[in-house]
Amino acid sequence: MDLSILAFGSGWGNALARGLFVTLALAAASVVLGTGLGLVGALVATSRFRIAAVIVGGYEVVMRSVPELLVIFAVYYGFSFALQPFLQMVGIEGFVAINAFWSGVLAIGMVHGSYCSEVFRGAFLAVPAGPLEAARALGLRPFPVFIAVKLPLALRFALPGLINLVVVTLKATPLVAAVGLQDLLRVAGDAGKNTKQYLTFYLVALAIYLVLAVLIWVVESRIERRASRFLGA
Amino acid sequence: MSLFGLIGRATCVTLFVAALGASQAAALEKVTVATEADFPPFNKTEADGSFSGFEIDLGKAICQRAQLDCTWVKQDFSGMIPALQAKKYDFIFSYMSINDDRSKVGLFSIPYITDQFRFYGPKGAAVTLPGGLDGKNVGVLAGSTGERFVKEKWGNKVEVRSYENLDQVNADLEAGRIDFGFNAQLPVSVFLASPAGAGFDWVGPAYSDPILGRGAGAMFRKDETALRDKVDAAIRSVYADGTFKAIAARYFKPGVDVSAEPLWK
Amino acid sequence: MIEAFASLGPYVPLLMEGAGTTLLLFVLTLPIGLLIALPFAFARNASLPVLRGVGHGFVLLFRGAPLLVILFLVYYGLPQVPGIRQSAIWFLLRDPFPVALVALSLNSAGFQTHIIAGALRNVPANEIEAARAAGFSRMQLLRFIIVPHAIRLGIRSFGNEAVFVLKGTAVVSFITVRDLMSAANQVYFRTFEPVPPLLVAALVYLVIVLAVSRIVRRVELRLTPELRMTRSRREMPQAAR
Repeated sequence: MDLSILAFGSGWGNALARGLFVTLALAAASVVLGTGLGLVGALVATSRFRIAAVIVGGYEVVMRSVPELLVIFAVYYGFSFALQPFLQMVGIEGFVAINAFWSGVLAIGMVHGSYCSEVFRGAFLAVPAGPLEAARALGLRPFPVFIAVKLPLALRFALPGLINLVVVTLKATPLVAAVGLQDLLRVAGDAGKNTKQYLTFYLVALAIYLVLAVLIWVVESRIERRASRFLGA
Repeated sequence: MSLFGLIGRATCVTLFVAALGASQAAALEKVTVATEADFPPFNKTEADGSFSGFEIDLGKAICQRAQLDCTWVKQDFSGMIPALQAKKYDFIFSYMSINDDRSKVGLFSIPYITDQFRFYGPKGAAVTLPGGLDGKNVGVLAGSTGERFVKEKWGNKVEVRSYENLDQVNADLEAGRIDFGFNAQLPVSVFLASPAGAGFDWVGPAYSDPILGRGAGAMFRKDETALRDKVDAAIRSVYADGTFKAIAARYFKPGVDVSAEPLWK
Repeated sequence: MIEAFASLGPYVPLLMEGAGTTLLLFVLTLPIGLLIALPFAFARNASLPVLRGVGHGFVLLFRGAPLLVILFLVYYGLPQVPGIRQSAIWFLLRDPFPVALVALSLNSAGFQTHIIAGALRNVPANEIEAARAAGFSRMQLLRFIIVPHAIRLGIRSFGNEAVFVLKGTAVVSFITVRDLMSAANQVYFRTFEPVPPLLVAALVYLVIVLAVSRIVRRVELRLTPELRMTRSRREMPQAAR
C-alpha cells in the first residue's frame, strides 16, 4: 500500500484535514444549537403550559423517530419554502436560502435537541428538593432559584448524558454529505474515487472518527468522576 | 481568519438573504452555478478542492462572455433540480440532459453539448441487446435520464441499481456486482480507457431517445428568462468564435463530435 | 400542497415496496445483531483480560464509528481486499441487500453488546449469592435469575436501540438498496417535488416507531410487576406524595 496518497501537500492530506475541519465545525455548531433547544424543550415540557408541553413533546417524538437523513433532506429542500409564509407575515418579501452546512446544523441540531431535552428533563427531576427549599427559605424568587441553584445542579447530573450525545451527533454528521457538504467522509470518498483506493481512505476516515469518539468518552468519564465526587454519590 | 470565514471558504457557500427582484448589478452580475464535480471529463473535484473539467472551462468562458461573476458550488446530481428550486444556486451547468419532464419544472438554455447513451459491460460477454438483458443488473445514475430510460424500456426485465455517481457504478462493475452500466458515452470512455476499465467494452448500440434528451443545457428556474437569454447568447458566442472547439480539443479525442449546434434551430 | 400529495398516487406501490424492504431490514437486523452480540457481551464481562479487551474493542468500534462509514467501508472498501472476491464470504458482499444487513447487524451488535453486558453486570449480586446458596446449578442460575433480571434491566435500552436500527436503515439507500428512503427519492426524481414524498416517508417511520415503543412497553409491563403497580397508583387520585 502506497501511503504517499495520504501526504499533505501532494497527496490528499490537506483535503482530509479540510474535511475534518468541516466535520468538527458541523458537529460543534449542531451540539451548541441542539443543547440550547434541548434545554428550552425540557423547560417547556415540564412547565405549567400544558398545550405547549404537548406540542413540544410531540415534536420531540417525531425528531427522535424519523431518520436523520430524512430530516436533513427535508430541511435542505423544504426549509426555505416552509419559512416563506412566516417571513411574509412579518413583512419580509424575500427568500432565505440555506446552504448545506447550515441545513446540516439545523437538522442535526434539532435531532440532538430532542435527545438533550430528555437528558435535561431527567436531570431536573434528579435535583434534590433540599437546596431548592433552602434557597426559597432565604427569600430568593423563583427565577434566581432556577438560575443559581436548580440549573447548576441539574447540569451536573446532565453533563455525562449530554457529552455522550455529542458522540451520537458526531456520528450523524456524515449524513450531511448527502446534500453535498464536503465533510471528512465525503472527502475520503472523493479521494477514493480519484485514486481508486476506497479501502485505504475509508479506513483512514474510520480511524479518525474512532479517535474523536474515544477523546469525547475520555472527557465524559473524567467529568463523570468529578461530578460524582461533588455530588457525593 | 475567523472560524466562520473558514467555514464559508470550506463549503464555498454562506447563508444569505436574496431579496426578490434584487437590484441589477452595475458591472458583473453575481451568480452561483452548480456542478456535480464528479463526472469526468465534464467535471471533477481535484485534491485541493477545486473543480476542473470540460464543463468548468466552458462554463467559465460562458460566464465571462455573459458578464457574469460565477461562483461554482458542488451538488450531487440526484438532488440538483430540487436544490435549484430551493434557490441554492442560480443555474445548473452539469451535463443536465434536456427533456420534456425537466422542461416542465425549469428553463433550459440551448444545448451546449451532445452525447449518446450506451450500455457497457465485461469484454467478450457476447450479449445481444436488448434480449440479453433479461435478469441482469444494470447500474445507472440516480435521478438521471439514463435511469428513467432503462426503467421505462426494460424495467420489468432488468434490476436497475441507482448510484450516486459514475465511479460507484464502475467500481461495482469491476467487483462483478452488476452486469452492465448504462450512461452517456464520453464519461464512460474515460473509464474504458483507464487501467481499471481494461476488461470492459461497449455492449450494443448507442441510444438516442426523447427521454434521454436533446443534448445537455444549462438549467434555470422558470422565472429566470433574462439570465437564460444571457447564457444562450454566450453559448452562441463561444461556438461562433471557435472557443468551444478549442476547449473541446483539450478534453476529447480528435474526431469526437460533441457540437450541439445542429440541435439549435 | 394538496395537489402535491395527490400527485403521489401513482407512486404508492413504489413507496409500499420501499417500506417493505425497510421493515424486512429492521426485523432481520435486531435478531442477527443479538446473535452476534451475545458472545461479545459475555466476553465483555469475562474475567480473562484478553476476552474483556475483545468485547470492549467490539463495542468501541461500533459505538464510535458512524454507520455510513461502516457501510461504505464494507460495500466499496472490502472488494478491494486482494482475493476477497474468490473467498467464501463474497456471497455476503456481492449484493447490496446482504451487505446492508451485515453492516446494520454488526453496528447494532456493538450497541446490543453494550446493553447486554451492562444489564448482566447489574443483576444484584445478593440474588445470585442467594441462588447459589440454594444450590442452583450454573444453568439454573442463568435461566431463572440472571437472564430474567438482565432482560428487565435492559429492555428499555433495547427498545431505544430498536428505534436506532430503524432510523439507521435509511442509509442503505446509499448502496442502491431500494428502501423507503430511496423510494421517496425515486418519487422526487420523477415529480421534482421532494417534500411530499419525504413527509409520507417520515409518517411511515413514525408509525413503525410508535408501534415498536408500544410493544416494548407491553413487554416491560409484563416483566416488571412493580411498574404495573406504579401505573395503577398513578391513576388513583394523588392524595399524598
